[in-house]
Amino acid sequence: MSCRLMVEPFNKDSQEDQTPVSTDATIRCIQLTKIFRDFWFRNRVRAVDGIDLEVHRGEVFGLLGPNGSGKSTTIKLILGLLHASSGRALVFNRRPEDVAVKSDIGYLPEESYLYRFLNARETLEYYGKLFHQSRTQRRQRIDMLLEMVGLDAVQRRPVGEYSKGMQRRIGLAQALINDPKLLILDEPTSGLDPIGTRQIKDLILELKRRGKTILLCSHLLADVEDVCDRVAIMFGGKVQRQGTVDQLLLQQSRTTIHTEQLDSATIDQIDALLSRQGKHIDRVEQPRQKLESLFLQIVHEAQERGIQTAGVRAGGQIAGFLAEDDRLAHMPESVEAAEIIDRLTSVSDKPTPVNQVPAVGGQQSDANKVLKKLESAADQADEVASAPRQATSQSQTAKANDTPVDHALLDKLSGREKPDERKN
Amino acid sequence: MLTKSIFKWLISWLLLLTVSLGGSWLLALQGLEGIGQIVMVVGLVAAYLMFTAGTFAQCQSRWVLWGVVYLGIGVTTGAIGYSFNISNASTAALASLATGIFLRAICVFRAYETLPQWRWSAVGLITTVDIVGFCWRCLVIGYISTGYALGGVWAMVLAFLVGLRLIRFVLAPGRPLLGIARTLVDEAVRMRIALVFIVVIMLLVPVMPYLNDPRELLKYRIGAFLSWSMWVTAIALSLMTIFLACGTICSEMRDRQIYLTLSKPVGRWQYLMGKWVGIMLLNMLLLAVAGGGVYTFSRMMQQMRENDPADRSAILDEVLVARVSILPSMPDGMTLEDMIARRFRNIRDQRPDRTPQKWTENQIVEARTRELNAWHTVGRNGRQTYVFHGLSEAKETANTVQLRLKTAANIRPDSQKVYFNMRVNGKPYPVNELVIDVVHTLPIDTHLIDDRGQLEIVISNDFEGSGGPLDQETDISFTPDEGFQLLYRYGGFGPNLARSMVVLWFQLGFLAIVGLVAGTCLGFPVASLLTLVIYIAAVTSGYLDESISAYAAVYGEDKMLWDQLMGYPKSLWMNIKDMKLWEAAKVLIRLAGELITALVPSFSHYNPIPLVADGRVVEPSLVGKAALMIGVVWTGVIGFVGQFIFRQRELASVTA
Repeated sequence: MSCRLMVEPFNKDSQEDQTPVSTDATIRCIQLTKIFRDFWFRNRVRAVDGIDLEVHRGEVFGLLGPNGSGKSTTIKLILGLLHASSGRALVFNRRPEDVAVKSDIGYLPEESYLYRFLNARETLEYYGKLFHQSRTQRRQRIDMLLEMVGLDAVQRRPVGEYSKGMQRRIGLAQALINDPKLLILDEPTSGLDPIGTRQIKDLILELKRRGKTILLCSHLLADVEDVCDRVAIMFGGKVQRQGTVDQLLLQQSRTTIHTEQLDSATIDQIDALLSRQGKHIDRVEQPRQKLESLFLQIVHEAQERGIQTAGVRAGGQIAGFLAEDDRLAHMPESVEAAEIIDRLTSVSDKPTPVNQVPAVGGQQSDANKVLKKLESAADQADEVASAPRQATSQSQTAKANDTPVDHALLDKLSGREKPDERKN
Repeated sequence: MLTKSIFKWLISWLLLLTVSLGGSWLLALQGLEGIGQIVMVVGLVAAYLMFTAGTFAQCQSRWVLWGVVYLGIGVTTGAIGYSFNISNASTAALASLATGIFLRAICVFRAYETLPQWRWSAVGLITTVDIVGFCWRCLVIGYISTGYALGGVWAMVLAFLVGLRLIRFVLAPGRPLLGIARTLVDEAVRMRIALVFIVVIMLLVPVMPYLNDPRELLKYRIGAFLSWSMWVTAIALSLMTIFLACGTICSEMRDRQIYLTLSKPVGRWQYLMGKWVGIMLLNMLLLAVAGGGVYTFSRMMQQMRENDPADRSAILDEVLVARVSILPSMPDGMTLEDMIARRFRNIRDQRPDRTPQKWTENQIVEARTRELNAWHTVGRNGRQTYVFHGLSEAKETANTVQLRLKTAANIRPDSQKVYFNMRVNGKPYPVNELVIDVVHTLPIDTHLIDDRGQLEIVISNDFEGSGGPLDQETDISFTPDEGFQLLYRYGGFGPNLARSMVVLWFQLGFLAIVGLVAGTCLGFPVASLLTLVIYIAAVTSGYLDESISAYAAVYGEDKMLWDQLMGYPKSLWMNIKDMKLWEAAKVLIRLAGELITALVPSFSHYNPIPLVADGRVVEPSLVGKAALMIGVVWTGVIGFVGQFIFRQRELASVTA
């Protein structure tokens, strides 16, 4: 059992997010405008209206907005499928019309625009050929990708017979076949079941860990919130707001503490302690398990009982060819930065440093330890404020534990999950 | 485990078996043995099908299914053969084939999800064995045409499948253009639009030899087969190309697969070119298969029973051959120009004051026509001599050469025939009557050709020994060129057919690029209609040119291009000045027609089908010209312009 306390923050500065990404722009839109004209060349729709946008190398960037806000049009401009009316889009500092640029782009469109008459393997063969891949390379990658998206058992069925979710998986596989440096995902989770959605989110984080840049366009705000470093919210063809997720979403005036279940006496003690800082506990509540976790647990149990399915299988490890070691090349800051990302995107069994208090539950099970930490944190508030990078790690670690990476999911599906991890 | 459903199924099955066998027995006791046998056979077949269906529903092992299928075929065949006491077993073989194909289809349909590729080959192999066995049986029991036709259909299907494998192998390397081409080929084979035309070719070519009237001479039947089968192939492939080219681009634009393809490192020209290459490879394969079918079946027809030995030899000399035609020369080394000059001198001598120093171009053309007609006319009681040169090779290689004649009469006799006397190098020729206005082919033995390779033909209109009416008053005339020419063997039928297929391939290449380009900027109905109109205009361009020329008279028609162009405003002005407004309108209509026909290549100038059907050579120069004009110039220009337009084209619309 665990308990969540909500209090005012110890130090506002500690919540400021410094996303560890390169400042090199992978995508740059400069006053990008797209006006659709009718047959008589009269202006009909101003779909994109002078947007300025930068997606940095190695970050997950979310493009949000209601229907018709210009998200998909922006993506098509970035891909060179549409010509800009004015302004310009640059990808890897080159115009999107330059065919060579597309060698490093993977694109998953909002719907699965696949050939219905090809089967899954043939589909991936086709896209592999478009990237000049040799037969051996194609075969290896396709095997890995089919296993990764869980369609290796039905790879001979025509794509036209696939469910929407299965088609999305093949769509995702084709987007990854060239090991892209930039991945553009338009509504990647639409049509997917919760397993697929979870896998996609895990995959995005894992790819980010491996140094990929990801432009994500989605209506599902919770998904975007889970995985994005920065977001831009569009409306009426314009970017209304953009910034890091934490900048946009954090309630700077509040703090949440997770710990083992506390009795009322301990809570009173904590409240007394807080009162020394002039704060008090607003609310004490028992956290609920997420529906997603419950769903995954049920599926896992069904699989353990050997129930057959005509649909996708669980999915495997992330395809090995998706450049593991590229991250150093793509993340030039330091090896330390890479290690931070490793920590952020993996479930760590190591004890968490003292100043990363709200990390993984279960490591410090004693309520007294929590109290000591709180005391220590209150005393050292100024010190914490002077360590912004660690504070960043703190918030990111919390996020990472909410959305474990792909192998963590596999652990869950294969029964190796620690019970208390699910509670997060 | 015997579940409830299996138990119910087993009971039903046993019930069916009992009822059919018992019913049969009871009917036999009543003396109705025939009906009893039918009841038993129907019951057994139904029981077998039910058993197979049940096995499919319950059994996971494919090999058990295969075993059941073939066991069933054997049992069914044996039962039918036994029941009807069929000694030659042809019906049993038919039943075996039908049941085998039907059940194999079910088996494949159920198993294809996980079927490894080699099992497809096994299916094909087993089917081939079935069909070969069946065809052999047909040939043995005397159903020759059925055996050949069915065998031919399957052989063409097999050749197509093998060719398809070859194409896929060729397109296997990892290149965008080849990948796009490969997908196009898959699309053509798996989507119904192109498959319909492929099936039409595979079915019609082998069946067509047996659709002709068997009372006709074999050479005409083979000629008709060649003509029809090549037209069917050309039209079916043209339609397939049009619908495939327009369909693939339009459907990818509509369903947006093009977004994905063009978001990869693929240039738009590569996209168009890949589609074109795919269509052309498919066309090449289909032309090769159809050409192989046409060749094989025409050779098979040659082996058909034929009572007339002359007909058999005519097949090799006149139909399954590549012949060239030569026109006659005048005796004594005279030329048409000499005759024109002589006529000019005569006129000038008769009317020195009214004859100019030199004739105009029109007058020369007119004089030439007049002299040519005069030379091709044999007046009453007159004679004409025609000499053919350069026949030494024909003398060595062929049995006969063919004199092609088309006669006309200025006084048309009631019998519609003209009578004459013909001597070939001094020897009388047995034929001395011809129907007017019909093309006749008269074989001439090559041993009549003299050592210099010359053949002198003298035609006299004096009935000597002709047996015709003594009062024939008409002159006999021959249509110049077409109506008086000698044909002789130049090459073999096979290479000639191959050259004709190459010319058709160039034409299909043009249609493919037109269809693709139309598809990039128009919707499917409009694009395919436009391409179809262009195809029809190209095929009928010869007829259109003639019709348009005859529709309205224009100044300067026989002059150089510039004068021809200037003839239109001049003709227009002259008609308006004379208040002939309808004539002026016709000039404008002709101009529009000329412009439209100028925008399409002339397929009729490069049409090899009548040549092949007529046993005439498709000259390599014709292939070269078709390659240059249709394959390079027209296709290249359309492709270049189309690529430019496509590059400007935005793939998404406001709704996308």
